[in-house]
Amino acid sequence: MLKKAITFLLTVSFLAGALLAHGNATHLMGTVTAVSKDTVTIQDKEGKSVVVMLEKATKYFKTKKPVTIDELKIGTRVVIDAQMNEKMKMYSAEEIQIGTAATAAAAKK
Amino acid sequence: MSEIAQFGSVQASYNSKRMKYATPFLVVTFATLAVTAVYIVRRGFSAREEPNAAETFLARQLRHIAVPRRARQMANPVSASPEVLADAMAHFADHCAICHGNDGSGNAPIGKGLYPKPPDMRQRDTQNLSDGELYYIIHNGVRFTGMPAFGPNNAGEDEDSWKLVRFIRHLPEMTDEEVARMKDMNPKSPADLQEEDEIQRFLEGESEPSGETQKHHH
Repeated sequence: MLKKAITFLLTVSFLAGALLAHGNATHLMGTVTAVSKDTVTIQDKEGKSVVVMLEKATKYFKTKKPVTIDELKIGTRVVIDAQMNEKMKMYSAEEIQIGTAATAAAAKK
Repeated sequence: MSEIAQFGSVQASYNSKRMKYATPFLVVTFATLAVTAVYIVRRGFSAREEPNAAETFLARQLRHIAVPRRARQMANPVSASPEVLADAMAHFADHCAICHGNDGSGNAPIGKGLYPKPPDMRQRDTQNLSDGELYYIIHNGVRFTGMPAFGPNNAGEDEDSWKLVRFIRHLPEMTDEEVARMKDMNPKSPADLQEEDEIQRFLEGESEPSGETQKHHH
């Protein structure tokens, strides 16, 4: 009986683990308008400015090769794989793909 | 007193003693069940939360006990080589990364929503498991978690799982370049491929920014 009781309790405890949920990763596409140590600001198609937090774990890629934050320049196109940080009410960047096409602003720099 | 009456008296005494011990046991059991039920009802069945420390500890101990000693002591019959690693990397990207992430961190769309969440396999808790234990888990899966049994349903050993063990040992040394390479090996739906193409064209300057796009719609 003890064995049965323990088995039941364990079953009840772990049943909650059987459910699946899905992530809500977001792709933000735009042109960099400002970069600081902790954030990058991009402007999307609608002209809306979006500030995204840069984390220690944020990875940077250019033509699928890892690069450093130094490649993140004003005027470059980026696609940011981000998660909404509910606490900060801001996007947090997980990965940033940096474009190879330089805009006029970036070319001037 | 007849023998039957004597037997009846002994039986009654035995039953009385049994009841004496059984009652507190039943009370404790039902109280525990009630507390567990209230805990589950209040907490709900959401998979968003993290298992508490006690649950994690208990689950790991049970998993450890559940792996037969003989299996824990098995040595990896597959030797480490660049070819084995490349093969396992492709296999991992195709079958495992959806939950474990290409880097084994567990930071993946499905993995993040699982309960319990997949462990960060680069860390000690996974790396300290023996090769045989890792193989056993991949081959047989883990009940009440999102980990399915990947091995074929026969007694023979599957080489693919042993190769994956080699890859898991490599996870703490993974480079960003390797992770990026694995992205191309991840399974993709037609919508994913279209999105990837749009992103590529955008990054190369062929199209205008299209604003924010949700990767997943559920």
